[in-house]
Amino acid sequence: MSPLGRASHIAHERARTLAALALDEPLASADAAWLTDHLAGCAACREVAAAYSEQRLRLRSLPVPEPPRDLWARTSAALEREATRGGRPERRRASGPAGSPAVLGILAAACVVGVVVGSTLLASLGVAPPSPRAPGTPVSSPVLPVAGTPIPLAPGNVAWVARSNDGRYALNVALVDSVCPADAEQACAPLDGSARQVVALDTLPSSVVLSQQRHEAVVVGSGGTGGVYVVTLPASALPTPQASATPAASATASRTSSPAVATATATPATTSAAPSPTGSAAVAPTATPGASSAATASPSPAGVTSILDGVTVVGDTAAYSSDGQWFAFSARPADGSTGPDIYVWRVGDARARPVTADHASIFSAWLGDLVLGSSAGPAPAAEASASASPADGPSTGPSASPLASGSAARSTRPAATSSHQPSAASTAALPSYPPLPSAVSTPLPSPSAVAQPHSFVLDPATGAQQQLAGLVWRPVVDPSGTYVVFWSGTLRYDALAGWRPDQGDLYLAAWSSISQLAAGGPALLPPPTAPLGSGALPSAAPSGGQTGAGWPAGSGPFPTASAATQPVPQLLEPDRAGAAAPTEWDVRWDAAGEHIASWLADAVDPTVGRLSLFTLDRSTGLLDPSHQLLADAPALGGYSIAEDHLAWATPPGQDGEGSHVLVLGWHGDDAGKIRTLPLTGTDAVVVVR
Amino acid sequence: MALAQLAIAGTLRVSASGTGEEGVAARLDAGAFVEELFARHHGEIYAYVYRMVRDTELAADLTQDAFIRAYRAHDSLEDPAHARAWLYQIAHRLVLDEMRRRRIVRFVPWTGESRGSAPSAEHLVMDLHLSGDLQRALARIPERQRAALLLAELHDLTGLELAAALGVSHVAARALLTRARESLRQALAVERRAEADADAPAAAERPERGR
Repeated sequence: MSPLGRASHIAHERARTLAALALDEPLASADAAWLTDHLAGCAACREVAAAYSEQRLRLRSLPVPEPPRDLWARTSAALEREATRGGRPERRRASGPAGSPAVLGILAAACVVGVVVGSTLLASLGVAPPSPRAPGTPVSSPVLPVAGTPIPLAPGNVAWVARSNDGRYALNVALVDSVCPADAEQACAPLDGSARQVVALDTLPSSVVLSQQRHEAVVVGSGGTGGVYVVTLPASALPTPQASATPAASATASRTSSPAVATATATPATTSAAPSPTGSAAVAPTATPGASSAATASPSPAGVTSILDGVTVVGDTAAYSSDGQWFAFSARPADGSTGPDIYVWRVGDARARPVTADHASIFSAWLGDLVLGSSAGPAPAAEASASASPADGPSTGPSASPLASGSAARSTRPAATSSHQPSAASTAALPSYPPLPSAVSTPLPSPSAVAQPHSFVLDPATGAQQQLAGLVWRPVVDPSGTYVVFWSGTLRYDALAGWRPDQGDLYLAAWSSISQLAAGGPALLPPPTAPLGSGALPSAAPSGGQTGAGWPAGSGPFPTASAATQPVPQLLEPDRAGAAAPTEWDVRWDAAGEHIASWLADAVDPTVGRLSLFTLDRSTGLLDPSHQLLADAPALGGYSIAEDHLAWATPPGQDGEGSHVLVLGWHGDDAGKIRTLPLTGTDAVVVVR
Repeated sequence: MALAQLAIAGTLRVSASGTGEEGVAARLDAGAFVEELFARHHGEIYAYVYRMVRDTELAADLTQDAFIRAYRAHDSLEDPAHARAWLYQIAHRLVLDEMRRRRIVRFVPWTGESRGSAPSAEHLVMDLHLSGDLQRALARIPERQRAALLLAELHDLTGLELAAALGVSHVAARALLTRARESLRQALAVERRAEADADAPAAAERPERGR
């Protein structure tokens, strides 16, 4: 979509949302003015706004259904039974209001005078009796903080990349230690005030991931030849509230030499040591397609090291492992000759290296220092009609290919059978790493080929893999290893985007429901840390059951054996059930495993989407809708979630209005926001993870 | 009004978990409390439930159930000022549970048929004639969205009350309502097209419903 078309798509959607919102509450004056402006120039949007008003009038003129006349008689009889059932004494008159018109009359009159429940703060609502259909869903009050009081957060950094005045792209870092409740956002000064520009980049990256352990960030270039770079950040430039920011002694050898060369610190007011504004991190596409470029650790100017080039990074899942020693991402050759594989880079290494070779694998998330990945395998139909189907292209490879024969491969994926490596980039410098599984040189799947997803855990140090149960795609496990969010369904091949979700939904489930060990596979996973259901993972597969045969179509992704003893897998967003599968999403947990952020791409323009923040009741494994902190906020792709805050960028509007970076912070039951002023221009903003 | 509110507040301070004399008093109060709640709110609660399930008998059952549950849980209501939203919350959950159980989609399209103490047939025909497309469109949109829209537009719940009744957070309620307005707009557009396409059959069908 053209930038113009995109901006107007976003603007129209914003107009629709505001027009709907305006019916329910007064708009902020800036929003109201924007809406008026927009409506003046948009006939279609005026029509929508008029339709909203008209349907409101029509709704309000719907007839009022009359309750049956015997309703009180029935209810009072039931109350009677209720009272006596518990051995309770007779407590009411023989005739209720229905039988005593006079009494009813008096009460009704009282009603007419004004049964008004104030719309004041609902400090606490009671708990309704638990319903059999929604066990454990507590009904509690919506929690809003007291007006005007900033909410303290654990001080932390929020960082983003945006175009700066000199036309380059600055990495801005701001310290956030409080947010303001919705009704008093103005009490928090804009985020800009505390932000400082740390590094300048020549092009806008597609994503930037900050190391929690060292003063470095991994920058993923955008475009077809984007490449992946490690940028050393000036130690003095980062606001460092947390003690854990000390460099890890073991792994910094290769970059301690030039701690400050990457700077271009154009710091407003709060200048720290700013060596020289001339040194900029020249992260530019190196335009060298073909993965066979020299394996040298080509250190480009100013503390920037290319760890992989000639590739296009796929998806937005790139991340450091929890100990900060590894970085993983998915990438495919820039020339599109094959599908994606998972790459890992160990801090201190010169290059990233692939750890899968089926060209159909995606990095999903870290599970401690293990890689969680997903692969596309043949769909059952394709399996049946073996070579006829374009979908099982990969199966034409050696039988050691993990995808060679559906279920068997799924349960015992060989860890290492060949020393051949498909990419020359990593081998020379790293002889000590385990070899990859056999490479398969297969044609790309044909457009709209269908496949089934499966997922696995991989140890980047040894290459050992363990398969996960179920038709699971891109699982993301909470930091305690108790719960998992994943997509389950079928995949369809898209020439541009690779394997994409086709039919299915996002689920929240117990991690142990998919982490059961498949028959004969290596045991990588530790036993679950939480006392969930059936307890520890079996060290060997239960005989029979679900391990061997894979999942018959339609049987659902969950092992029935364990389902009964665990929280029932639930849809992450029940309101979206049945809607088209999101083409792209990004689900992340907070550090405590209590909140799940979920970004779902817009169907029309996948660069924008909607961000929600769910709260998990860890005692029941159910989402607690009464504590959902964010719902459907328009957001650009790529957000960051930390211990107690979530940061994202709003889409740019039209009329040159730029994005904001918004931070939602929570503390106990309170939540609030802080934001930047609108950023200049309609360029995208990248929130640093 | 002020007196009535005081009376409710008074009943609520007594816990139902007491024993002996106190416990009896509490239960008496619980009964009186629910009785008063019923007198004040049964009409609107019934209307809400009926609008969701479109079945007079079922609506009556669920309304009755809501008051039973209010009786059981009356001591969980801490502030009587929130009694109305609390009652809606109870009713809303009963409705959603029931709909989930019965997979109630059969009321699309709505024909006005009903059992028991239904409004008059003429009334239904008028109703259908004037608002049939709206009713069908409402039935098309996801149930939680429909609930949000009905509660906001027809039951005048706003902001935090709406959130409480729906059992979701304030931001979630707002998003639900915004989505509902857009869903209804699209559903109405679909209904209008369908109506235009099938005007003749619809006209032939109408007298049927009057019987």
